[in-house]
Amino acid sequence: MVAAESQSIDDNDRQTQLLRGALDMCLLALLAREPAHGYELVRRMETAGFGAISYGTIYPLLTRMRRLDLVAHEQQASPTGPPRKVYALTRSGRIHLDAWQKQWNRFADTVNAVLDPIEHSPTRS
Amino acid sequence: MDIIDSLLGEADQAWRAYGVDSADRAALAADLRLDLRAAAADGGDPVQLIGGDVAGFARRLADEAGVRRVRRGYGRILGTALIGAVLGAVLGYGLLMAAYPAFVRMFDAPRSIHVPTQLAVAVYYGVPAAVVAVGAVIAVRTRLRDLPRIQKTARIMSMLLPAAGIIITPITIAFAWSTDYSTAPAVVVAEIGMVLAALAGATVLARRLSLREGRVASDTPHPDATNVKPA
Repeated sequence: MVAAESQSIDDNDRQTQLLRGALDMCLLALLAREPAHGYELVRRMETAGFGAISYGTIYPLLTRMRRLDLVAHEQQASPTGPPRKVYALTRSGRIHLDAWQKQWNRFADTVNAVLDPIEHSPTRS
Repeated sequence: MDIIDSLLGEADQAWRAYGVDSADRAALAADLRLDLRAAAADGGDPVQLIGGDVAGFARRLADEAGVRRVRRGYGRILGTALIGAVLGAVLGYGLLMAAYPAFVRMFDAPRSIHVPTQLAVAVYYGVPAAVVAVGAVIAVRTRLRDLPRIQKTARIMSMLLPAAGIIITPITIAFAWSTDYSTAPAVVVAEIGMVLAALAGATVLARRLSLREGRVASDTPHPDATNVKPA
């Protein structure tokens, strides 16, 4: 029981570490598909399979990406509620996303190449 | 006040404590308000979204926005001013003792030379008080050079401290009169407290005014920071 809990905590930590290096890229990719406001991005990240990522993580990150001119926002009138502050990729954001995506693919290929032999090699007990 | 206003109020307190100036606080709050309202309209609970640590969220947001932060340093300024004032008080007491014979001679001056009593009293107590104020100002100006706009603070202090002294003196005298000039420890402590509170208030006000006049260059820049763009 304790071992299972420990494993779960370890998995969560590792997931957080992996996400840390990819979260901004994933947000840009989601915004490239369709502009969204902060809370909508939280839901999209969850739907994409990342689990529950807090608004408290995503909103400050969006603010940083805005400062770096990777995204821009505009207010859009909503028929059902208050005006929405919707984020969308800028030209610079698109360029960065393309570059980061290529870098990620190279990195993932390298990691996969290193990990691949593990599946076939015998382990010591 | 709705829940979003309440959260923004809490965030504003955190930004103030973090040294974010008013224009950036307003910009951050306006952006956040829009986003939280949109989230609430979509069924999100603003309290749950931000989580329990509103202050932490606010600080993180300020960092990511790259807003300018200014170290106000109220605690350091008050402490340094107090040390300077105490040293000034010691020096002022020494001056008073040294000048005492001269004052006695003034009062014993021939009748042909008239020295108004008020003038003599003002000089007698004014000189040590001025030395106390000068001690506080010099200490702040020379010991806290690392704080932004400290020279401006010291300049304003040099005006506000005497003003505070002039205002608090009759008030303290009135209080002493109301207690029949009691020398009971509690009364004396209260009188000292009144004077110190007035001087501390003048010091804090001087600091606030010096930071308010014009935008201050950031002393805690975020890496590759730029100004946050107002909504």
